Amino acid sequence: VTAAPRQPMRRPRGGRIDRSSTLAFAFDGGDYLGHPGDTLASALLANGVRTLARSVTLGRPRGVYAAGAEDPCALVAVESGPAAAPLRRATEVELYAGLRARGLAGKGRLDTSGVDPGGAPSDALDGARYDRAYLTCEVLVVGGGPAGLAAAHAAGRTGARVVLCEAGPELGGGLLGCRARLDGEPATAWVDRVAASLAALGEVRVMTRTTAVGYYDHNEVVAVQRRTEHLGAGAPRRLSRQRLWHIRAGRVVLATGAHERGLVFTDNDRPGIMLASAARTYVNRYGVLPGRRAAVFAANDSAYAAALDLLDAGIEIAAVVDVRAEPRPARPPGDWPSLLRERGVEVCRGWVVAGTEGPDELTAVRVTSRDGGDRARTFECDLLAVSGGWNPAVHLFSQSQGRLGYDERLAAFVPQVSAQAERSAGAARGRFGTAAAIEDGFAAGDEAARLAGFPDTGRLDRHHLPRDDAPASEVHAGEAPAGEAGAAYWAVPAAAPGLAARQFVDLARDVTVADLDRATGTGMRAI
Amino acid sequence: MLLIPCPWCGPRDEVEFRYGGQAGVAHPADPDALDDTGWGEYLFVRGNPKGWFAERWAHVHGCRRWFNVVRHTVTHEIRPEPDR
Repeated sequence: VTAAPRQPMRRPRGGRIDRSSTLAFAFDGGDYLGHPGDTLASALLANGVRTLARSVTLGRPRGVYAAGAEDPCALVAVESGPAAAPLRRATEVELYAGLRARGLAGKGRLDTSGVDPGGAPSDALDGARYDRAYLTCEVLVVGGGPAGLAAAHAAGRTGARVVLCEAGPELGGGLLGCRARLDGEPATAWVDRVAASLAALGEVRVMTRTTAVGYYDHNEVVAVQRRTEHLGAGAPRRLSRQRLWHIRAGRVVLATGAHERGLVFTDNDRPGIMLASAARTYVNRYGVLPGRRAAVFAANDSAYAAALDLLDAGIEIAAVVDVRAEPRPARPPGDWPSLLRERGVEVCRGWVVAGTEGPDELTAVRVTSRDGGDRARTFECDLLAVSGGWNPAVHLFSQSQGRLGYDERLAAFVPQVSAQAERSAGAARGRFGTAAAIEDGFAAGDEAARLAGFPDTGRLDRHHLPRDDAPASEVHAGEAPAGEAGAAYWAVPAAAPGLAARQFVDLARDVTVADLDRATGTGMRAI
Repeated sequence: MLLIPCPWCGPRDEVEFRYGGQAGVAHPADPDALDDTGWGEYLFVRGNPKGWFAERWAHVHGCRRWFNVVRHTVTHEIRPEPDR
């Protein structure tokens, strides 16, 4: 008897997963297989499961929308073992053998199974231990992507005590999910080298699976370290499940990166629609095909790099739909659209996705020209990769009381005035691109060490700053050449009045364009 | 959480300290001369400025000594008490 094909959407090779080992897990009653290195979301996508949850108020089916902490939809309850939790993002739950989870309708339920009403807590309550610890350092770096690694490296070489917090299980940040190259080799080789040199520095402490969750007075940052949740049933009972770190830092470097933003159009919430960066992360990092035939909806050039990654993974690209019109005069050959057209991909400039089709999960996209002409086309696809631009992840900066400013060029808010002994670096302050982020990170780390009392000895000059080997300069949202309209593009106008109620602005809370229209219609502002 | 400069031990976390309220509240020279209102004001009424505020702290989990600092109640910026 031949077993049914397992993991039908798993790529035969590639990615940062360990195919030599197989992990069995259960989701919503179904049994599936995954590999070490998977998240619950990537393992479900590998098994062809696209609908994970329902939305919170409307009950609409939802799938995986992102590949990290920014996912608004893929909410699950983990019901097994030491990692049990009533509400987690599937994109952040590391897979382990025996994991059992189910999808949620937007919110979890507090687990009261072990609570005797009116009595003492029983043993059935969470038996794990949680503890806290205090840490003091000269320089704290939040984020283990290119900017954060460079900052920790630059500061650590001065002899300063440096702490580097990374939320994920491994260092590298966005570099793990793309195929960026530095100095002619994969960027992950640079990551490995920097990680090795950090490990060799006695005063540098690298903490993975550690999320900085709060920024308080006098440069105190609070971080949660998840110590045993990824170990499943094998977690040693002597270890606390989570540790809350109170870190007091002389200087803080926020290298928290940026989150891609979606675009608003009718039925933009179907399972099968995800951020372009998420689609390429599933392909490159997890070795998963998030679809067989994809369309790409872009307002900036990073979506083209994602399209090339999908293409090279064997996903057919139905079309790349770009809200920006064809530039005139034409740019020199070798730009992103040409790279795709040379591969036979249709690139529709000045077009938008007006709507999507499917009973629930995506089966096709309807595309019209942006100027409202009556031309319309339909592309069959089971994946729509969306990229509206990039927002610096300024959450911690804002909590530190820093003031933001709106950057017209990036069409995003960026850190402007610091309130504490802190500086943002890399994509977190709008320095996009791998080489630019590394350079900014080095400068921020050097500066932080100097201001914390470790004198500058011209170290920056002796750092080797790697060069980006991107095929063409990766142009983000507002960086489009002058005259090329549509860089700051948010929403496709609804074709009919009723459709605005199916245009989702906030997928986590089911807030639509119709809701916002109603709110502003009653005189509300700044909602 | 604040980082409080103990004049004897150096900067330490707020958890090591106990708060002592407004600094410089003098004990009445002749308590018997006060009426109930005056005594109540001495006991309970304190300044609550939006801005710089002189206050007392005890380093209970350190040197156990009392000292004064001046703290800005909006930004939490802390300065040693100026010499009087």
